[in-house]
Amino acid sequence: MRRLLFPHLAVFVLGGALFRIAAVPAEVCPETTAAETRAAAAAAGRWMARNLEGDGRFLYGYEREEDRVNPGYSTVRHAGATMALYLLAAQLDPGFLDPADRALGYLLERVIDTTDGGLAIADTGDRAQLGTSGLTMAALAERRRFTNDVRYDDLMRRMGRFILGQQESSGALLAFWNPHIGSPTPDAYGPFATGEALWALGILDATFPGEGWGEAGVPTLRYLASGQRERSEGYIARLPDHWGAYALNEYPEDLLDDELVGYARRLAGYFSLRLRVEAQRRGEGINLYVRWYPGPPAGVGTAGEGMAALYRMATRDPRLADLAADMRERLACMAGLMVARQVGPDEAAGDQRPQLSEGAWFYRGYTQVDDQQHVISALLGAAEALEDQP
Amino acid sequence: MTFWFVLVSYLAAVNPARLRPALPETDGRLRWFTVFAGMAITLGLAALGVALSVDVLHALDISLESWRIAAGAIVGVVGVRVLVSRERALEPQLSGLGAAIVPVTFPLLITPELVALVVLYGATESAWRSLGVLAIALTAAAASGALPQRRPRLWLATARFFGAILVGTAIALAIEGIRDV
Repeated sequence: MRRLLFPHLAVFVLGGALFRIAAVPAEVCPETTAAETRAAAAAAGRWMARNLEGDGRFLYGYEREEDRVNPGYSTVRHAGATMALYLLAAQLDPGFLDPADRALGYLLERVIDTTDGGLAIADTGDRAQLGTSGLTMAALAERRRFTNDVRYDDLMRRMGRFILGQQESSGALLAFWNPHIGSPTPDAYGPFATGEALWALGILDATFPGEGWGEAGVPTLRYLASGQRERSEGYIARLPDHWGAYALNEYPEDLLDDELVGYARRLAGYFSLRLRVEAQRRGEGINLYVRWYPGPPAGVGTAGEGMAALYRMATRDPRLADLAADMRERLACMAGLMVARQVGPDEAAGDQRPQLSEGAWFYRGYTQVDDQQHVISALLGAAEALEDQP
Repeated sequence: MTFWFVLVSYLAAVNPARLRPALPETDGRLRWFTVFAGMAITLGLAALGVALSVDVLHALDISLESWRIAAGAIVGVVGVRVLVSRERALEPQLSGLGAAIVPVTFPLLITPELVALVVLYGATESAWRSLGVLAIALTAAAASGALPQRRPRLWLATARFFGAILVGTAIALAIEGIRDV
């Protein structure tokens, strides 16, 4: 009997063990609370504020082991980080308003007229950038919601006009506007810029209802939902576009038909998969070879903030209500992971420049301003979900 | 999952056409009682698997959505193997009624693909559906014993057809797992 069973049982047990290690490692989600989650977001916000330079630029990136600052810069990431500071000011601490306004100043110095009545933000060259303009709009809207200050309303509307000037009949959005030819740069699209600008149109619709901004954005929303973007712009797989998720959350329910709600469900699936895989990562032992290092914070953060946006949508829209509990679970897991992974004061104290590491998230010894930006937004969304937990 | 998806995937996992040549016989005649006893044992073990499925996944820190993808991977690998392999070799067997345990229950029926599906359906479907449909699939497998074993190439082709269904099942499970939240 033993001789008959042994080979098969051995294959079964060893195969099971191998499968467990390689295919389905444990998904470990450290426990956390809404308060701890918000505290982590605030600590990351302080990293951004502390490392804001005199001209309103953020410290872009930092290599911890080599104690080396990355001199590069990205205007679009600057705009996203500015938005994150306004979120913190509105939700956690008004003290973040001052650094947010300083960072906004850097963007406002780059406003250019796109001749058709539109205004846009130029990148470090002189091209007007769709994505930067979209995220600047998000920052301005967050500022307006918090301060009730309407001084930038005209700028917001004119940036909306710029975005619509970039829109093609298919719903695609051109990523750049070239001042030398006085028109959008043809055939140039961005993987993230479309979603960023689409979200901006949704924000405009929510800020200035009845002006038709939402309706104008629907062809672009449909362009994303149908998969036309991937086919036309040459992507092999569907993009897990967290900015698209933000946009879906912003648009009024009556503009979202079943196709668009189906797109929201699909995005939630992508983000869930990303966060589940993240929970399987230990970054050590055999797990390192099957799951690699814990993912880049910006990557985890984008999945988290996309999920958070869709969670907000699911709490309002009955067509997504069945997903809310699972979304909450994924957000709680993401929050636990990122709270645990953040560099705290004790850990930073041993660094050469603790002010450049405390409150940050690193990927293999490197952090960048958008690591903090995306995780802050994700954690603020997760804190809401944690409070909703039954 | 629909009733039909569960039924077809269980049938493909049991694979009556691949199972039939390996079932115990005496003088060329199927030992029906032994076969049914093995299937009853398998169903009993599957009931245990269904009852414990949620707890097992929880204990292993595996989310249901990830298990769906993992089950798809197991089913897919087995499906490809069935597609490319020759007919199953005869397994050594215990004498008398012991053959209900070896080889009928194990290794013929309790296979990685069946275990993966039992755990999955145990956690996602009602107990009636996950066990009742498995009982139907096992009965269909037993019924294949009544068919003559002439034309071995036809049996092999049918076994490979079920292998192809396993691959299709795997793809469907993986897509579902990726889209699940």
